[in-house]
Amino acid sequence: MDSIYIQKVTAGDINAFEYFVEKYKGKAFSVAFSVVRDSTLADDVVQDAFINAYKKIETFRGDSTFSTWLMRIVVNQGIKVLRKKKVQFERSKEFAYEVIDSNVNESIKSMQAKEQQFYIDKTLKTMTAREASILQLFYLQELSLKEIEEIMELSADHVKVILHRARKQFYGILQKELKHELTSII
Amino acid sequence: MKKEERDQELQKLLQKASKGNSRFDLTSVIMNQVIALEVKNKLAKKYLRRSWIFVGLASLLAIKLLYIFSYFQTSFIASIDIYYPGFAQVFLYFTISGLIGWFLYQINSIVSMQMSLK
Repeated sequence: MDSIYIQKVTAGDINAFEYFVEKYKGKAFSVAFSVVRDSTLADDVVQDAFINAYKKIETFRGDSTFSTWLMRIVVNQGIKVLRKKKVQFERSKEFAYEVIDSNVNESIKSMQAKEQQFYIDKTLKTMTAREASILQLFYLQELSLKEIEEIMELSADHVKVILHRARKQFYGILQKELKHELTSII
Repeated sequence: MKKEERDQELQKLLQKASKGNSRFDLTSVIMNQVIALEVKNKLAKKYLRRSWIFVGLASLLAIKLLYIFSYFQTSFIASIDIYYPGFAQVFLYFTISGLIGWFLYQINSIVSMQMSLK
């Protein structure tokens, strides 16, 4: 179906592009939000990504699905915005925590929904943008590893390594945040 | 790693994170921008076509002005030459030597600039 509309857009039918905007705006916003962690910035990222996609639609060769191609533009636009804001996308940050997933899970489960959201958001913001994005693309968007490889333009092994590191980083930061909260209460 | 192999606990935790909300209707905003872009492109093409007409007209006007200027200059020199015989030759001599001097000065500036860059 997408290919029909791609042909229409390349033939000069502007209104045919509305099909893509309507179909992918939700997913594009979620992906943009995963990268920039800010609704206002995510809106700007989505707009710019769609405009770039419209400009470059003639270069779409069909090696991947249109959705993957568009999400790659969204992620690249998100990274560009982060760089402008001087937020590092990649950073070698090692977390040498002894993380026990079950303990973290138990502690967070005992909290109220709003508190849970606060700590999870804080953790995702503390994480490096690339790790946080890949973690969310895999667990929230439920994208396959192949799709993530194509979107992030990384090798399969690299994605697996980052995903493993991201999981460790997430639990490590969350545990640290929860401990900090606990000690401040005491 | 297949979809089933995702860490269920982590997935549940991440689902609790804020999803963010768009401030406005993205479809209309994006489509308006696309239409504006298309209009801009069409106008740019149109003006590019027209700009050749303007360049052509400007060139014709420049040639015409040059012609008028040289006509008046020649008549002016010729009229003075009547009262002061030989003025035209002197004027021509100054004009030609001035042009040669300006040309040599330009060459000298270019050469000295290149020498200073080395």
